[in-house]
Parts: sequence; C-alpha cells; structure tokens
Amino acid sequence: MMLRQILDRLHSDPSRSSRIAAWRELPATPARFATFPAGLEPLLAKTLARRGITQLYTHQAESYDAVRGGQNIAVVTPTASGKTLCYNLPVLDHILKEPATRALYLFPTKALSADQVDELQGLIRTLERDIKTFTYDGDTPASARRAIRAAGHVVVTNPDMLHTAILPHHTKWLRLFENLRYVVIDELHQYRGVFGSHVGNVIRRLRRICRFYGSDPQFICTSATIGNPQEHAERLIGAPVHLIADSGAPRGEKVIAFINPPVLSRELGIRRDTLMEVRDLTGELIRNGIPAIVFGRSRLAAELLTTYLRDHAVHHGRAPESIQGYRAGYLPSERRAIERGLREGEIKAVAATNALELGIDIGQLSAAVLAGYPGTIASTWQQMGRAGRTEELSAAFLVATSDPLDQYIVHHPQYFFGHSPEQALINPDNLLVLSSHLKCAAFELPIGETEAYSPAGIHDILLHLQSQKIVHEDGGTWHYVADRFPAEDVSLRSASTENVVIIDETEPVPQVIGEIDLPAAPAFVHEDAIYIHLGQQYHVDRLDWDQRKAYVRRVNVDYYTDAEIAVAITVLNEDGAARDALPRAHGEVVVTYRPTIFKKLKLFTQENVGWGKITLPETTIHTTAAWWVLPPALTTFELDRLQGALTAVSHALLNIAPVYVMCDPRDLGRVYEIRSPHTALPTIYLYERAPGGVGLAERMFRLHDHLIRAAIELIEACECEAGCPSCVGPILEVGNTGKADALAVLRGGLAVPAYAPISSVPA
Amino acid sequence: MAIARTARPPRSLSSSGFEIRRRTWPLDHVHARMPLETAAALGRVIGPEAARLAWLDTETTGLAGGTGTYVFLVGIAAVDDRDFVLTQYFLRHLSAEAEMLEVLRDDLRTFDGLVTFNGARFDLPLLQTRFLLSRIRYEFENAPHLDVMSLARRLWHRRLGGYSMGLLEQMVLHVDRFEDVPGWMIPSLYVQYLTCGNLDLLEPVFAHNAADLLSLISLHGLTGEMVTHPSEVQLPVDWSGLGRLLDQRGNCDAAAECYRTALADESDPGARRRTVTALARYYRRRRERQALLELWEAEFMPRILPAWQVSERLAMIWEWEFRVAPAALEHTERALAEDGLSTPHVSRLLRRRDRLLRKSSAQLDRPFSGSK
Repeated sequence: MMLRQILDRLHSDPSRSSRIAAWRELPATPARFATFPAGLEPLLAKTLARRGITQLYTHQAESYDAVRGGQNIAVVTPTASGKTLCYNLPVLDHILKEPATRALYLFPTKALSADQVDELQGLIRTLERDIKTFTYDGDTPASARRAIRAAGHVVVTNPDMLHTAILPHHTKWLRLFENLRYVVIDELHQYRGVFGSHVGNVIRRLRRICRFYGSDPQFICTSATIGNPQEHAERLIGAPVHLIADSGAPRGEKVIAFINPPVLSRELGIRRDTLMEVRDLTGELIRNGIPAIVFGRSRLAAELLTTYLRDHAVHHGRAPESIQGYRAGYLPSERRAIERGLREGEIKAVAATNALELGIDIGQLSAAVLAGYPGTIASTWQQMGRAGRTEELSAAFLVATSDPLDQYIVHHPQYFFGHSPEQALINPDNLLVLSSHLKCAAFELPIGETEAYSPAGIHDILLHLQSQKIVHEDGGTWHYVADRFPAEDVSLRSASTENVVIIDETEPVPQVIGEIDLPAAPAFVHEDAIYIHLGQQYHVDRLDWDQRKAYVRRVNVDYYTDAEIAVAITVLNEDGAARDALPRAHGEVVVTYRPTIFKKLKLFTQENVGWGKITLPETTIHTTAAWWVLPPALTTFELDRLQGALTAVSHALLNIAPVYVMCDPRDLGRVYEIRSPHTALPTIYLYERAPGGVGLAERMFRLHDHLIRAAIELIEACECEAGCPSCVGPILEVGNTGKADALAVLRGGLAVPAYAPISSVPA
Repeated sequence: MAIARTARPPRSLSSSGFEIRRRTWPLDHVHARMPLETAAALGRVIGPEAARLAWLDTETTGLAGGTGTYVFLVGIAAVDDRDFVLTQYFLRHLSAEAEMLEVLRDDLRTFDGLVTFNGARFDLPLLQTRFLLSRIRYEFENAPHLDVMSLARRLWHRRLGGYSMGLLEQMVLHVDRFEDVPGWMIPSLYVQYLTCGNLDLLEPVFAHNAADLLSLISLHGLTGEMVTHPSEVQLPVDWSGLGRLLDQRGNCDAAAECYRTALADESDPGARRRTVTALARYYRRRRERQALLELWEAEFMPRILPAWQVSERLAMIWEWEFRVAPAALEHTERALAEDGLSTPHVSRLLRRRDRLLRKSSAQLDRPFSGSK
C-alpha cells in the first residue's frame, strides 16, 4: 500500500476514523528557482552543477545577494530546504575570491557540527581547491590545534569552546580574527533563555575582539520556526538582521493528523496506551515500506518504541536491524551509523527523542509519528517537519497521551494550528550574566570607559568588579587583574556536562556501550534497573556513583523499569519579603531530586509486576526562587479545589513570567505545596533551574504587581472556557473551578492598597 | 637574600608609567657555590648558540595564561664587559604597557639568544601575547632559546620528585632564600600596589625576580658542567636522564657510563627497562654482542624486570645478533614458562616460538641439505 491508501483507510475505517481528532491537508507547493547570481564565482557554479545543482531556490539566491550586499541574515525555512547552502554558498564564494577569508561556524551540539563539516568538505572536495575546514572542540587533539589556528579557512566549533578556549586566547587565533568575514550561527532557536543570554554575551565578546583586529564579520543565522526569528537574531548578535523566511524549496502534499487513542474506561478517563497506538500506526507504515520517524517524549519512550517496533517488524518477517533507536547517550559511532542508514534507506524506521529534532541530516522520510505532544508548538512543528518530501505525499501524526495538555491539544486543534510558535526570549543584559561576561571581556581586552559593550551600561558593574579586585581602572580603561581564568567559572549551560559511563560486562572483556548525563542517571541506571539501549535490554548490576560508572549485563526479560523522582524545595534564606494581600518573598533555596522507587512494568501491557527501592544520594541544586503565599482569606476551598487553584495560579505565573524576565520557560521550574513547611500555608514557588540562579527570581519578586496583573489579563483574555495551556493549564489538570478560582486568588492578591504609592503623589 | 654584595646600588630610570631598574654584580660574585662568570661560561656548552645571551624571567598577574594576564615585571640578566647586569622593567601603570614593551623590545633586539626557566610554555608565549595586544612587532620564535626547565625535568624529576626552582635551589644549588615571597602571592601584591601605590610592597618581588635569575644562571651553568664532566658529578641526579641528554649530544660513551651508574640502584621496572634498553642499544651499535648478552643475563638477578621479559630480550639477542635459533628458542620457551602466557604479549611470544621452531629445524637440516 502506498501512503495515500493508508491515509484513505484511516479515514474510511470507522473504528479508526473515530480516533482522528484533527485532519489537515497542506497542499503541495512547487519549487521557485532563481538562476545563479551574476557575481557567483564561476568555479563554484560549475562545481554545484557537477553535484546536480543547476539553479538555486529563491531563498538561497536571496541569502547570497543579501550577504554579498553586506547584510546579516537569518534564514528560517523548513527542514530539507537546502538551508546549509544559504551559508556555504556566500562563504565559499568569498574564500575562492579572496583566499585569506576566514569563517567561523557555530553549532549548538557536536553531533550537528560533525554532520555539517562532512557536507561542507564534500562540496570542497568537488571544488578541488585548497580550502581547509576544521572542527575545534573538546575532542580536537592538541597536536592539531596549532594548524587549525593558523590555517583553517572555516573553523567549526560550539559556543562553549568559543567562550573558554578561543576568545580568551585570541592572540593565538590572530589569522582567524584578522580575516574573519563570516560567523555562521546554525540552529539559532536553540540559543534562548539563560543559555541564549550567555551566548549573546559570547557574541558581544567575539565582536569586540574582531574590532580589535580590524574585522567586522557578517552573521549568517539559520533557525527553525519560532515566533520571533528576526527579533531574536537581532538581540543575539546585537545588530540589524535581514529575515529570509520565504522558502523557494518545493514541498509535496502533507497530511497532518491528530490521533486520540480510544477510551478504555470512561469513569477513570483511561485511554489506550499511546505507545501501543503508535506501534500499530507505525507498524502499518513499516509493513508497507514507508520510511518513518517516531518521536518519544523521553529516552525511555524512545527505547520502548524501538523494542515494540522491532518486535512488530520481526513478526512481519522483517529484519530487526531495519528499526533503530536514536537518543542522547548513544556512542557517536552508533549515531553516525544510524544517520547513514536512514539516509541510504537501509533503516526503515527510527524511534527517537528530540535529539533528532535538530538539523541532523537523515534524508527525507515519508512519515513522522509523535508519541505525545512535545510541549511546545515550535518543537511540534520541528518534529513534524522531519517528514516531508519535495514531491511526494508525506504525513505527520500526533498521537495524544492521556495527559491534560495532550488532551487539550487534540480537543482544540485550532490552538495548535492557529497560534504562531513560541517566541525565543533572551536577556543578555541580565545583571549576573552580564557581569560574569564582563569579567571575561576584560580578561580578553581592556574595557574602555566609553566602550558600548551593552546598552544597559556597565560602569556600575565595573566599579563593583574593581571593589572585588577583579578589574582595575587606569587611564580611563578597565584592566583585568585577578589571578583566575574567568571563563572557567562561567558555564553557558546550566546542565552539568558530567556523565555516567555504561559498561557491559556480559562478555569477558567489558565494553562501554553508552553514557548518560549525570542528572538523569539515578532514574535510568540505578541498581536493578533495566536499561534499554538500541532495543537491547541490560540489567544494571552495580552503579558506582563516585566513579560515575554503571555496570550492566545483557538480559532478555519481559519487563522494563520506570523510576520515580520526588522533587522538593527547601528555603534556605529569605532575601526579601513583602506582606501585601498576596505575601511573597524571594531567596535562596535548595531543590532536591530524590529517586524513590522504581516500578517493574510488563512490556506491551504496562502491567505492574513489582517494584524496588532506589538507594542513591539525592541530587540537589542550590538556586534562587520566588514564592507566593496564599493567605487563608483567599483560599477557603476544600483540598481538591485548592490543589486545582494552586496548579492554575502557578501555571498562569509560569506562562507569564518568562515574558517579563526574558527567559525561556525551561529556565524556570515550579513547585507548589498545600502546606509549606516554610510558610505554613499554601505556597507556590517558581525556581531557577540554573544552579545559583541568575537573578530571575528576584526580578519576578520585584515585578510582582506587573506579573499578577499580566496573569489576570492573560486569564481574562483567554477565550477558553475553563482552562487551557495558554492560561491556567488544561481543565483536566485544574478542574472545573480552576480558572475562576485562579482569577479570584490573583485579583485578591492585587487588592488596592489603602494609600496611594508615593510615586503617584503629585509633587 | 643570597646576594652578598653589590658593586653599585640599585639605580632606576623612572618615566611616568613604567620604570627601569638596573642592578649589577661583579663577575666573580658567587651564587650557588659558583662565580657567575664561571656559570655563564659553563652554560654556553649546553646552549643556546648566541653571541649575546640574556637570561629572562617575568612576574605576572596570574598563572593561568591567556590574554588577561599582565607581565608587570621583566627581568633580563646579561654579562657586559665588567659586570653582571640585571635590568628590571616594571610596569607602574597598566595603561603604560605598550610604552614599556616598546623599550623592552628594543632591549631584546640587542640579544640573539635567551635562557629561561619554563619560558617555552609560560614567559615567552605570555610576552608574545602582550606584544601582540600592544600591536608591537616582535617574534620570539626567531630567537634561539633554551628552556632550562626541560633539562631540569630530565635530570631531577625522578630523583627529587619534582623540578621546581625552589626544590632545585634546596637540593641541587644549595641556595637559601630568606624571607622570600612565595610565587602565588605575587599577583595579589601587585594588585594591592595598583590600588594603593605603595612601591615598598613590591620590593620583595623585585628581589624574588633577581634571585630567580641568579639561580637560573647557576642552574644553566651547572647543567653545562654536568654534560661536560659527567664523571665528576657529585650531586643527586637521575643518571638515566643525564645519560639520555649525553646520548642526544653524541657523547655516547659517557652516556653509557651514566646508564651503568643508573642501573646500580634503579628499582622501578619501567625506568629500569628503558635504561637497560638504552644501554643495550649502545652495545648493539658497537657490536659488543657479549656485553649485550651479559647485560640482559644480569637482569634476572635483581628480579625487578619480569623474567619473561628478560628471557624474551635474550631470545631476540640470540635470534638476531648471534643467529642461533635453538638458543633463542630455549629462551622463548623459558619466557612462556615464566608467566609469559599471562602477559598481553603472549601472541607475540607464540609467533616468535613458531618462527624459531621453523628456523631451528632448518638450521638442524642445513648440514644435510647440501648432500642431496
């Protein structure tokens, strides 16, 4: 059967069509071409022709022209629209014309940069010119670094390496900086929130070093679809950007369907398991030879799907190797092999986490199946964009879970199709972020009194750094005088880079089969866990926490394990408090993640067949939080309703806060307590996920009235009846009264003070 | 301070932002039990080759390196006609850096060779960075340079457990520094000076820099002396390291003597294997097969090297030097019997045995093969 027939049958078979919650058909768009630009180096045109490219898509030509015209650009076009040529073309063209030209390519992850270097090098090989591209990251051997610094035309790296290894040693990169014409920032949308704010400062530092060497590079950015690509790019690089969003690449017809698994028990609101539903749907695609990608929301989901789909494939006489998994923690060589297998068609289906959401080249697949709503409109489009062919029909399915959020989305498809994707927010002028990068900037080059490092002004910060003997002012210039190497103390990402190595001891010679990041390790490789890697089960015999090693053995059992982690918050210190209608405070907290138990669940049926205790140290992050105390007067509800109200208020605050403190929703976490040990009352906490915090909590505290007012406006303006993800959260989570109760609580919190604030009294 | 007397008091040329201090010692001033003049002359043996040599040491605002570390004091020592001259370039104000570096650059250009202690990895790259940042053209890469630390590492690391200047002064040079300011304090003293302007704070740092340079000259001389007269060395030294140094300089006989001395009390298996191997190489080059054989045979006794390893080497000697396959085979069998089976090199031993079995039968056959 062809994909179209499968789709038709989905429609016509009543038992299956009843599951379809939404069905959209996006018509095919023909390609729009442009001829090679007049100024294009003839050799490059010839080489492209040899690779089968005789004309450009309009957005590629537009990119080339804009870059040649001296503009910074941000290209926002779909997956597989030939985005890489938008930067490779002007960069190679310039290098061919002026061989001294240098370019810096920044990718957010190593896997991605490896992929892009391969593609670029392929193009260069066909050019038969001596153009050198190098990857400079933590894996680059010391012996090769010297050559890269002196001779690399294109240096491929990531923001972390730029921050700690390249900028603080810029004199060693003299050739690069003197001749730097282009900075390519791929996957721009990744740089949002606190991480993006850090990267924005790294780029400020990069630009001032370029100025020192007399260069002024142009920025070429690419991004997945976000709500505010141009604004985001401009904030990140601190310069005007020309937006290129009109893709000339052809698109085949595409069907998007939301699938809601049937209800098994109406009383309990239980639906058929999403993974089984996904297995059946994907199984049908696989049986018919239609290449598909399946997205699980967690690593466990991706592995279970791999297991189920392999099982299904074997049942239907297909090789289990034609089904693969893909997630963080696989060895780089495994990842490469899977990517290649997908491109070359040996692999028919892959069950992945959002690790594959990035621009990793896996060719074009006919179908994408999302096992659960990924959480944001933007990443849903990105995952669905993985299926898409230039001419033929493709399909993307979102299979809902029973989670309130998923149920909301499938019941209100217009919420998804009608809203623009989320905005990426950054605040490079966040005081803590800014001042930590000012140290690095001063280390790299003395800071002049009149230097416009940040529109926020830096004089006071420099004075403060002087009082700490970190900088010293002399002759109108601030010099770095501390003993420490500042970049090492500033981590761009809040996630720890430590990991646990997983060692298979089945054979006499133990073998490393993968790794897992430290924060996730307690849930996945605790003792007696079943760790699944590429569909193969392993029993964790021993977890050596101190050595960061997990010893596993291959097993074949009919269950998997799922760990439960309890999140708790403890207030250490109140830095500030206000006793209004809605008492609130901010201060230092410890957030504790404590692995408690694991359940043994039967494969396929999810039947609970046992459990065990996890004895591992809890992981804690020391950070800052803002919290709101709901006084008895505002919360005269019974317990269930109170819980709904707390959920609703915290959801609304979490929805609105990132806009006001300019961060990403992922930068904040929320916890609420029916009766907080600290305040002895119902309390809502919003805490910062970055260890130590970057001052977001204090800003939330100070913005209190704005925040509460904005939350009220948000809820009032929302057209939903009794709660949706955009306001207080889906009704299934907050209950029928959640929305109204939240409004009441927030309005009560804004009770007009008995006296006018001093600022409003006329002088 | 170990500086006994100075012919002339310190003198300083002060401009606004930086300062040049000069101080001299007579050529016969004794430091580390050696007149400076002698040390300078002995040092020439080991290099670098230069008509006018300078010893250089810097004090900085940090040890991390990178662009944000300032060099606030550069000491350059040199011999002139009558004196030993130390010139110290001191940065009074950070904003005067370029000004100072320009004068320093002109001074550096009068030399054609540099001696430092850890200059290859620290002082010179750091100064290079400072020149670049001040947009001053100067390339250290063009000048011959000897980093005495690389020699010290070879000569003393294993013997003393380190090779810092402090340790070498104590154990090798026998120099006592009274009231010396510890190196890690220097950056903060300078920052303190920057804020309060009290130069007295830094007097100990100037003295520290001077003492470092005197010791550098002595150490340079001492290493020169050691490679010139290795047989007269009385100091604690890693004989193996000295041997290798001599080997590199082409003085193979003296090197061999050092290796023999080293073997008298070398109990670390790895180091011992390397030293025996180096000495064996010497014998092999001179075709002293008997000495080669005896050298390895003697290695059974101290029981430091694993017996299978000694046997394997003996097998190699019998196979390739003497070309007597049966004797080689016997040693190979012995290596396998002596725990050779449990080494990771077992397959190498087995391959050797197979080959020797073939060779042995061929050697046994040979007398008859001609009479066909």
